[in-house]
This record gives sequence, structure tokens and C-alpha cells, in this order.
Amino acid sequence: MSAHWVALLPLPQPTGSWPIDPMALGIWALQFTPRVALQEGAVLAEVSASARLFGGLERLCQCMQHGAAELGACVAWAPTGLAALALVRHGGGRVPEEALASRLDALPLQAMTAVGQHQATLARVGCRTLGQVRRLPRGGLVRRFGAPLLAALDQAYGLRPEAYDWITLPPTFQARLELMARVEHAPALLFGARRLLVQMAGWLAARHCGVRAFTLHWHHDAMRARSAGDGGALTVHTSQPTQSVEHCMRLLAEHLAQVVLAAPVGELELSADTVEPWAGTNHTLLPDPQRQGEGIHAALERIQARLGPQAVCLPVLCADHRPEWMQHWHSDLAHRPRQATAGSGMPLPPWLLEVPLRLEERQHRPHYQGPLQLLLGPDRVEGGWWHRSGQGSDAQALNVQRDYWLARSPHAGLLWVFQQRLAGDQAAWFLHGYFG
Amino acid sequence: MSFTTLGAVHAFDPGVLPGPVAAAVWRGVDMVGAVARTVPTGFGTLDAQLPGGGWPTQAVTELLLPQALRCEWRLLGPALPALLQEGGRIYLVAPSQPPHAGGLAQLGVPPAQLVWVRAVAPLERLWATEQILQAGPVGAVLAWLPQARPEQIRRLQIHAQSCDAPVFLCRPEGALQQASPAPLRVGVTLGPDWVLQVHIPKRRGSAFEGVLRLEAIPGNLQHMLPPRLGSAAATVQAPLAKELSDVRALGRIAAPATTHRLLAH
Repeated sequence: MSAHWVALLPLPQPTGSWPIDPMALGIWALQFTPRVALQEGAVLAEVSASARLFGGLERLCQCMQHGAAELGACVAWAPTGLAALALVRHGGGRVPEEALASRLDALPLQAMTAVGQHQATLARVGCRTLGQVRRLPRGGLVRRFGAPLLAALDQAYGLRPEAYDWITLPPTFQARLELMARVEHAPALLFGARRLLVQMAGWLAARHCGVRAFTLHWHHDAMRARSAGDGGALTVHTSQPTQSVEHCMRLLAEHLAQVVLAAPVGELELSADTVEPWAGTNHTLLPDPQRQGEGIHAALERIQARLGPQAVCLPVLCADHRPEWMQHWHSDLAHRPRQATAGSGMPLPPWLLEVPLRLEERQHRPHYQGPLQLLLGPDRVEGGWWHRSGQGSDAQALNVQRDYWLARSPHAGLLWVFQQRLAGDQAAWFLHGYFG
Repeated sequence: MSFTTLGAVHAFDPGVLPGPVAAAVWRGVDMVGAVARTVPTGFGTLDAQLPGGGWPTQAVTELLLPQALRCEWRLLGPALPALLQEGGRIYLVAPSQPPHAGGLAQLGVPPAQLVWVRAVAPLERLWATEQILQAGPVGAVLAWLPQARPEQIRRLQIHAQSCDAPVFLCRPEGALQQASPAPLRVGVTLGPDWVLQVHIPKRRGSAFEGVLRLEAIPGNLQHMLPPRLGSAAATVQAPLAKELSDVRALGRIAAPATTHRLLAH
């Protein structure tokens, strides 16, 4: 099988930010293949072995092209690494194996560093392209310019094997980005953060991990007010490990919308805090209910990000007989607590008022939108002296002593009311729930 | 042309169509067949009047109620087992009072399959509902949107078209004054005793003028109610009498002979 090399060269001036660091680009490229090397300010990657995993060379090519465009890098494909490097310096593109020699022959001397450094001498001989250099007698070329030039030429044309030092994946992820212009509004930071998130997604994919928490730090520039401090940070938690840039972007957008910057920001930094192994998704023919669940999970997380973590609540049943403490709500979407069984024999309403509503009494009968007709009861709920609210002197025993009745009102439907003993010998009626 | 064919032409009655033609003709008085999956409501009479024979999916359904939280579960309760199949969840968006998981467990909604989304501002309610609809939920979505405008309902309806779960928007009765893009609008009022009076101001196909009377006893009460409470005459006046006597026993009014305390001290 022939080799397929990709060369990625950072664009000198991508929109909105400084050029990406070749090392960061290399780490991103490690998600496609473990054979990634840094060569003369560019990244070389050999991807022929990964073609099948990504659904064919065409798909892999599109995938890398798309990602490189987001990171601000130029891409070239060639059968040898040095040829890809030479091509990427002159506009990029893709060269099939049979057209390699003719395409390389037409490139100028600067395309290859080993040739370009002898450009002055070679130009005097009349050589302007690599093809003209290659046609010179090989023996003389070695004697005049040294062996490295001929070796590089042979490697580029695929006549001699290439050897590189592959880079390895760092165990933690941290990336910096200096912004071209000072950013004054927090939501505008998203533009820069996107490039960092794409980098992080590449690192996560290479490690087969998903992120559970990541932090975006921002540093104010030197022209800030003294009171503004150095910068700030925002940590975003996800309930399930994810690699999706889009999901992280939306969560970050919701959080950044609530941030007010103390001073203009000049630099961003992203770090992956909590990383967990991620199984990835299976590609199935039939719709998978589990996949559908992922969408709703992400939606609930977005709601939490915008409206606050308490905006999405899941119930937990507890072993308590008092209706208020029979359940509590938690907001951790990933957490599946053990549910106690609702062991109470009495009927419970599906809606419970947060604070019982004191009912008016007329002729010693509870009134709520008219007189109430008591249907079933009483169900005695009593106890709770062991349960205290507050601290110190505010502590109050959450003791209840209630007789619950099922009541019916012509206007308000089925209600759950209780009668409670107050101080002295008084008793009062309260509305506590709706059987609606 | 033969004689028999001519005879057949003479015998043609425009009111009676031959079988295959009759099957192909849609009359204005008929209901439209279901365009999407429907979930049976659990009330036979209501199913008969809903297009497709149940709560529609891929569309929003408006429940028009005089007061929120008074009869939602009584109406939807019988449909819950079908909705909760295959790990479906019930999403409650912004009910005005907190749901009680214990009570819902008695109605057949396990706590693990209940999600309560709290939102206060009208726009937040709409946004949260839209987010859930977009994500393709399994189960059912109930949203309380007292202040939604028709164009906002329209937006939800468009999102609901790709959502394979019934979506109920609980709105006040006053919303009936406005037009609504929801293909099904169901008005519910409390009737005497256990009856829910259901009218259908809007549905696909012919209009329905009547009022359905559904005997809707909450599922968790069904087994506890004594038979005497099933009828209209059932009124329990006993506690009233006890109270009167109780209060009198406290010394405010001259005490009669019988003192019976409701609360033991």
C-alpha cells in the first residue's frame, strides 16, 4: 500500500488570531494517526493506515481539510512527506502518485529547505526549479553540495525512505491563544475559544477520552485598570463525557453570556480538567433509542447552563412519611440515586404546594374557592421531632401533626387539605396539594 | 351498449357511492386519519373524537384549563403507561407548583422517568420547551405556557413536527379567544363529582360541537374510594358536625353534650 502524507502548515495570518503553534497543530493531528512529526515549522502526518477507520481516504481528507480550516492551517497531500511539505508551501493541493514527479519538477528551489539553501549557487548554474536540479549529474551534485541535498531530493521523489521522530501525545491538555484584537465583551470570546475547543476535541479523540469539565481562562491585556486584576476563568461541567465541539460551544456560550469582563481580554487559555474514558458511538443501521437520549441530555444541560443548575430537577424518593420530605430534587443529570419505594398507604397528590396555604374557615368548614366537601380521611401524619432545620438558635424542629383529608371543591377540583393543631387549642386548615 | 349497463346508470344514486369510490372520498363530516402515531388516551369516548384515536405525536396539543394544575393528570393519567414505555420520560416545563414524585409514583410515573424543568419568565419557558422538543424526547412533554402568543406556539408546533412524543401545552381558557396554530385544542372543565367535561374547539377534520363527559378518578384514589363516593349524592357532612362540636367544646359557645375531637392531643 502506498503511503499518504499530509502536510499542515499554519497560515501566517488566520482571521482574528495569531497563527497556531505547530506543536498544537501536531497534537490535533494525532487524532487521525499516531505517525505525526514536526518538520520545519509544519506538521507531517502519515495517514494511509487510518483511511479505513475514517470511512475511506476521501472522507478522511475532507475531515482534515475541514478541521485545518478552523484551526487556520493549509493542507497538502502527497505520496511522500517532503513532497507534501514542498507542496503546502506553494498553495497546497493533492498529488496522486503518478503525477508526483512532474508536479515536484515544476516547483521552485525554495520549496525544499535542503535545496533552497543552495539557491544562489544553483541559480548561477541555471537551475530555477527542482526538476532542473534533479537533472544535474548525481555524482557532481553530491561533491558540490553535499549528500543531504541529494538525500532530500530522493526522499521527496519517493526513491529513498523517510524517517521522522514521531511526536507523542501529552497527558494533559492546555492550549493558549493570543487574540489579534482586544475583546471587550465576554460572548465575543467564543470566537477565539472555538479554535481552542477544536484543539481540545482533537486531543480528546486521540486519547479516546471525553471531557467532563474544562476551564477557559482569560487574561486581561496590559492596558487594564489596576482594579481589574489579571483575568478570570470559567469552568464548564458536562454531565456526560463528550468530545463534541458543538456541545461544548453551546454550553460555553450560555455561561459566557452571563459573564461581564472587568477589562479587555488579550489572551485565552483552555485546559481540560476532568477527562474520562469515552466509548464513542456505534454506527448502527437502525435508529438507536440510546442515541436519541443523548440529544435530550445535551438539551437539558443547555437549559441548566442558561437558567442555572437548579432549573432541571430530578426527583428522589426518600423513606419518610411526611409529604414534604418524602421526596427531594437534585440537579445532577448523571447521578442515578437509589429510589426508596413510596410506602405510604395514603393517597398522595401529584402536585404539592411548597408552603401549605392557610385556608379560611367559615362556619368551621374550610373554604377554598367556595366551601370544601371532605371526601376521605383523616390520614394522620405525625412526627419529625428528630429533624431540625437551620443552625444554632434558628434551629426548629420540623415536627408535623396533621390530619390529611381529600376534599373536593366545585371550582378547584380535588384538593389535599390538612388540619393542624396550633398553639393553645386552636386548629387550622391548610391546603397542601392538588389531585389535578 | 347493452341494456344492463343503461339500467345501471339509471339506478345510480348520488347519495350511495360504490364501495371503492366511497372509500376514496373524504367527506367534510369525517375526521382526518392520523398522519402520525397516536397514543390512546384511555378514555374510549375521547379516543373516538380525536383524529387517529388518541393524543397525537409530531404536533402540539393545547389543553385549555380554567385553572392550572387542577385536572391535567386526571385527563392524562390513563395514557401514562403507553407514554412511559421504552424508558420514555415525562418532561414538566414550568408548572406553577412543584410536582410531587410520591403522588406521581402512585399514578404510575416512576421517579426516574420524571424531569421537572423550572423556568419563570415566559420567554424562558418557551425556550426550554423548544430545546426539549428539538432534542427528540421520548415520552411526553407538558409545558405550562399561560402567556404564549400564537406566533410562539407556531414555532413550537414546527419543532414538534419532528418530535415523536405527545406535546401538551397547558394554557388558560382565555387563550380560546385567540387563534392557535396547534392542530388539536382540548378544553377541560371540572364537572360535578368525578366528571371532567371535555370539549374540542379545534381538531383536524370536522368540528365537534358536543361536550364529552369523562369519568376521571385519579388512579391512586380508585382503589381507596368507598362505593358510596362514586355517586353524586355522596357528601360527607360528618366532619363538619364533629368540628362544630369540637369548637364548642373549647368553650367559646355553650357546649352540647357530645364532644368529639378531631385531633387527639
